[in-house]
Amino acid sequence: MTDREFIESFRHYQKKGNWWCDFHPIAKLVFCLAFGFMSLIVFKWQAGLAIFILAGIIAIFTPARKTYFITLGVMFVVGCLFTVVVRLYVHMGDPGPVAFYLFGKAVPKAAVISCLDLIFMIEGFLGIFMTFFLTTEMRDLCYSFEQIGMSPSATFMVLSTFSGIASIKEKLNSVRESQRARGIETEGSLIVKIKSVLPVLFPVIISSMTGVEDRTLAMDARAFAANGKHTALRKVAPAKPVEKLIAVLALIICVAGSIAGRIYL
Amino acid sequence: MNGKKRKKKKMDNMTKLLIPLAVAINMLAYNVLYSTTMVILGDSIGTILVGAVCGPGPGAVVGILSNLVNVIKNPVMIVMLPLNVAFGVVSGYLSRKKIFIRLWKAVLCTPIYGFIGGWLSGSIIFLAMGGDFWGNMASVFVGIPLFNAGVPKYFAMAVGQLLFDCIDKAACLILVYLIIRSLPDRFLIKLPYGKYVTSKQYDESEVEF
Repeated sequence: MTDREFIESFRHYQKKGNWWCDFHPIAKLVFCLAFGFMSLIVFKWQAGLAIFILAGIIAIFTPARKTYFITLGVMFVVGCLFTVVVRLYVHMGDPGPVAFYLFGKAVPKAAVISCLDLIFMIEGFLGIFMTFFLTTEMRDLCYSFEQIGMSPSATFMVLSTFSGIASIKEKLNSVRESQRARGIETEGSLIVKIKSVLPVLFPVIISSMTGVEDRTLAMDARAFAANGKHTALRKVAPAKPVEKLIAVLALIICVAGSIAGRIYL
Repeated sequence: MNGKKRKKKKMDNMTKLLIPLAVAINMLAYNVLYSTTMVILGDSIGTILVGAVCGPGPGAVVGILSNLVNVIKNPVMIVMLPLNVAFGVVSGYLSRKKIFIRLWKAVLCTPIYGFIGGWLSGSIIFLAMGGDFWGNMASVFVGIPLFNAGVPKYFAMAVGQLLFDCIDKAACLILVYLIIRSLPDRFLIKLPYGKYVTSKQYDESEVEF
């Protein structure tokens, strides 16, 4: 990208050339919240599976498909498998129709269905939210919230939270290197690692906190707290009627589906 | 009058900057402490810290933002939002009682935090996850053995969560106390609840903001 193209990109609404990525951030959030909470409220594998498939279809058509399926797979192993093993162990030998035998003990069908309900609730909830977070830039979401009346201070806090996490991790690495240069062991056995926690953690926290004072002065010098409308470098297109309609439809489906799911499933 | 206004504005800006930092501290402490100890989570250090030095409101905001960041990694964590908020609010109210001035006072408050982070979180998990055990260390090492010994499932799970969380929160409170003691008084007194966490006496008119 040339300098001229870079400058010109800020004169128009931000576009990525993908229908889901360019979906209005708040309409997209409402859509994902509706289906995510439907999966949580209904808590049946049929509803979870349907939402999981919907999220998968959306993810396939976005550039983030690879990250989506890898993250979902990791979360399945970390979040679900251990819980399924624990649940099957707890319910082994319970009365009721037998699904299969494990280490000579009967595992009832009810336990297997309970595990399926849990897995697909998590995967449905996780999947639909992943499609949102992987395809939406936080600054665009904050800009959209600011447009509908959220205070600039609140959006500043959200955005600086995300940038703060990255900078504090960098600081941690440099402090770890510095402490190692001073002779403090940070690698090795468990005892060595536990001993190194405080000498690494404390300088990072204390220096970050005392640095806040300087940043406050910098913010004041730039009239952060001044009254008046804030300007933005990046602009997001307002929500189209069809996007608003999809968000409202998602809310209606969530309410109707949750009630029907709780009654009939 | 004008001076008072200026003072309030600047204190607000400091709080606004401390809130994102506290969320980052939560993430950092979790990464460093949990990966090393496997028992101490440390993901509420920032929330308790800001609750103690800035008050219940900012503490609650840190709780919300921390949960928002966690939700990106694991959306199921959204059900824990009220607990993170409660940590911040409780810290603010306890700070007013000057509990962060003495270590023993801070440590004595462990059961309050343990109840929120253990019993209440266990109850939320129990309800949200279909009234059954969740695959975590508290369930495996305490909950399931108690259940097998005849304790009702809900109490077995809640007691397990409570025990593990009390260990975590005791460590968090000690760390928060040490962090507050390491911060210079001239920094603390510029914060909304700074006067509650330092024993140093000062006249407000002498403080330069």
